[in-house]
Amino acid sequence: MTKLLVVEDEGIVAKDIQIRLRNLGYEVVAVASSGEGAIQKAAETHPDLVLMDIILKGEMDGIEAAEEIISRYDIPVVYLTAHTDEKTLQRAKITEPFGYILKPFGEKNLYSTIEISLHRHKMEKKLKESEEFSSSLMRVSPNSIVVINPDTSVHYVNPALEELTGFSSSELVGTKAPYPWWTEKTRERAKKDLKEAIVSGAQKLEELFQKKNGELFWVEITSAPIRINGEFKYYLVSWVDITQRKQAEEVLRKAKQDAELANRAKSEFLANMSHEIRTPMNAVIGFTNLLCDTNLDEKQTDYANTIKKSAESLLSLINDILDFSKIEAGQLDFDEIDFDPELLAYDVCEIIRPKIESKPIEILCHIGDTIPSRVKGDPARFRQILNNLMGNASKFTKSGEIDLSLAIEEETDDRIKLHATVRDTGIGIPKDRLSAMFEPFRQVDGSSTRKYGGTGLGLSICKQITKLMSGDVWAESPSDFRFSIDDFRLEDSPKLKNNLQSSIVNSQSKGGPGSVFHFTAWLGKTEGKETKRYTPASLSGKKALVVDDNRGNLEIVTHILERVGMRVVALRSGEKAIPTLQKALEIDTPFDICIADIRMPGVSGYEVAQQIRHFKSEIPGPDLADQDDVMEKEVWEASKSNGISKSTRARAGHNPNSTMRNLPLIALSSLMERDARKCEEAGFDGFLSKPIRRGKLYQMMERLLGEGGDRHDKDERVTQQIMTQYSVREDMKSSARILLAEDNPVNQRLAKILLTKAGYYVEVANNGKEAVEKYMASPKDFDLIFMDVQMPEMDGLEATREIRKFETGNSPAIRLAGKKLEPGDIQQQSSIAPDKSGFTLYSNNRQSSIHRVPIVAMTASAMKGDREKCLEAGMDDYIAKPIKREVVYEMINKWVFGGYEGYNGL
Amino acid sequence: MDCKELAENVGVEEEEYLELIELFIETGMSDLDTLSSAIKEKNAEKAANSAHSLKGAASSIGLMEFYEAAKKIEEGILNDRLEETAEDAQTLKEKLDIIAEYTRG
Repeated sequence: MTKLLVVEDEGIVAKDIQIRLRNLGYEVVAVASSGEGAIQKAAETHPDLVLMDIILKGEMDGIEAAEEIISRYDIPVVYLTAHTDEKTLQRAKITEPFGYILKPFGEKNLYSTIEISLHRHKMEKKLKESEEFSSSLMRVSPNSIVVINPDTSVHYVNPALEELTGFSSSELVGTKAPYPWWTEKTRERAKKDLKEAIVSGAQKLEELFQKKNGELFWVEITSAPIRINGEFKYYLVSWVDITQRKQAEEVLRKAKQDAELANRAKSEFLANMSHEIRTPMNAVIGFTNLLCDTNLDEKQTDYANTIKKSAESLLSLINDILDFSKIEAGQLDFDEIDFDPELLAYDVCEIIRPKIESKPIEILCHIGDTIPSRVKGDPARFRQILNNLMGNASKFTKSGEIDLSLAIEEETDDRIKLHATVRDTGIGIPKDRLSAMFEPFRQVDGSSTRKYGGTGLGLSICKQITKLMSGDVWAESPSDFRFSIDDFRLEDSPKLKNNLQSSIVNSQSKGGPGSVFHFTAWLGKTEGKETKRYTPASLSGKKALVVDDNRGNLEIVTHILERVGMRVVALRSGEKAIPTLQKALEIDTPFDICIADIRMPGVSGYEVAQQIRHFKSEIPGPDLADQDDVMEKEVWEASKSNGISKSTRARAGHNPNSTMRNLPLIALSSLMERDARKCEEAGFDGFLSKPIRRGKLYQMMERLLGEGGDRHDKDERVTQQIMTQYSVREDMKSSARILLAEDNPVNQRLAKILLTKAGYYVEVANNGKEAVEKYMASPKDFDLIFMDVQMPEMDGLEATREIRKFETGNSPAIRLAGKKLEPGDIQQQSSIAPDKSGFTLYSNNRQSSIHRVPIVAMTASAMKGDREKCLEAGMDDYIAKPIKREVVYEMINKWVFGGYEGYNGL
Repeated sequence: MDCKELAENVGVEEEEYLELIELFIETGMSDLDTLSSAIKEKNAEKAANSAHSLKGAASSIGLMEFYEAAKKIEEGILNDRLEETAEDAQTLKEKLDIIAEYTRG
């Protein structure tokens, strides 16, 4: 019940009011007749409202009493008065009464005035509380707060701001921008920030302000507009003093900078050191090369070769260190060039082969069918990793297999993740050393360091490089592998996967426990160009017999053939070859081609070929057999004169003997032992070295089967020349092999840098004589010769004439080529070019049909007539020194790739 | 001498360029020795070859001043003024020393 205090000095009136109030439902807690009494009763009874007569007896009137009660107890007061003068009324107004009732009054009037007053008082109290709440928030906030009016004048600042800036509230309130805490320097920016903040709303930014004493301090500013009834009224800005944080940041930044500087200095020192060592090493190698060309006796040659080999191994060590320090310094650059990962993988296999030397190791290369023919990335880095993994495999494997597989692991619209796996059957790696190997300067154990050599940096460099290619490199112990092979996606061939698995089981029984290294990298996809691989349609439906004792290789070849729709019968021994072929003839489903490994236990590939070529059916009588011979001879002659494939023609005669004898035969062999003449004598038509390159196998088969290849090889067919993988022009490869004849070490080095960078192989000859020798030793190995004109011993013009004579078969210098190269010679010539010395003999026999190699002259003297002299000597083109990168690349494009655009898809 | 710019012109990394310069200094010194002794021996062919080699290497790595000097010597020798080139050869030697000092210092 609402409690009321009535103040009325007229007893009767007081009584009357009391009664009326009770009737209205109010409780009258007390009645006072004087001002003093009213104050005392208010203190005692705490009424909700006071009804106050203005004119009271005694010293204090109602207005004075009301003032006291309002200020002391915050009790609402309603005046009750009969009549009064203007002056008194004015006085009463100042006390802000909640109501004013004129006597005489009605009950309704009394009731409404009391209720309105109570409500108003309640509202005001609430408002006061809320105001009190917000202002105390601002007062006690440790953050500095400034409230700004729309005209930028300061409306309010809190004590924290006063304390921080040293300005008092009275100094600041009312001041407009520019504010005293803005510094001269930052004034414009602060103004702009403020404007932006007001326009666009809440902001968070950092500013540098000044105190009253001029000291600077950093604040982080949070601000928000205050809207009342949707109207922008104030702008509230709160500062957090971040001076300490800023100072700490500065200290940290400086410390970091110092540390980085120190680290860079360290890396630069390392890089410089490596560089300082590398430079004289290059000179050592270069001059040793020159030394080797002088007249040395056997002992001196031996010494010089030792110097060179040691220098080369030291150089590769230095290169490792340089790479490593570059990676540490974050200075390793990556190229973005198109390259063919398949060719790169095959190239790596070929480069590794000489390292295996005579160890009984089969190199296998599995390429996933959907691997694109072009990806974008750094081929040199990609190759570096594969080289390293394959190099390790060859180092640690005594016998068995080394298998390089390449598959797609993941693919997005513009990127592709390749996964390479290198598996060997070598000494293996203890499980607990698997991850430590990838740390710098760590090797599997101390003793292997001594036995196998190496810096221990190779794998850690690989690790770092793969990380930079968003990939990884890791190793597995063999017991993990069977599990992991299931994860390893050989994307579209579950059969191949199974085969791979079985070949692992098969091969592991031959060699050591082995190890498996994985390498993944993200590469870009090439835009615009055809990246699908060429698949020869003409081979579809042909029937092939494949004979190889190595199961892994047998499966790879089978897969390659089946992929283009060929029917394949695979045999693991030579003994079964003839019976299989014979049986097929008998049931009239003869084979179109036979592919046989040369080296097989029992019946070798040579024997298989001989048996096929000298096949004599046991069924027909002697007369028929003679007839066969005659017929076959006619066919042979016919095919010679019109260039039609002998096997096609012979089969037209439906004679089983000649069909068998003329079966196209391809020999497969490891590079080191191949002997083209022996193959030819045994009766092979073509020759491929392992690991088998898909594109080459397809091309060779197309030609041998007389479809698709006629246009190119008419001449070769007529002369019945045996095909080798290098007589099948390497028109589809993106890496050219270049012979560089240049005597000046600086130019040699520069050309080598430029050509290697572009992914080409470079073989260097120090003078014309050496160039001729190198070329004659293996003419099929070179796609292009860059020939310096002026060189000691034999100049470029003379060398060119020698080479042209040799190519056309009138070479007096044939004795040069007659020197059969030893494997060691090759390693000595170049660490990059793979060994293909097996062609020496073949070259001598067949010089008449050697492909004409493009020769591009390089000369410093730009005298008139030089060009003519070069062309006269048999050169094809001419570039002026200094060697310009673009011009060199242009020449390669023109002379190596120019005429073979049609095969880019391969 | 701005190695960075020179390297860029030649089309190699700065580091590779430095390596080429070092190699140039090494071979240049030996060519210059040959040149000097050839001039003394009055062996024009030998002298011309050395000058040619110096000229070619200098042009490859963009050292044009050196190239011009070597070219002058080569032309001098080819025009039967072998004796007069001794002084130029000495200048060339000094230039090479400067380059050597610059790159190594």
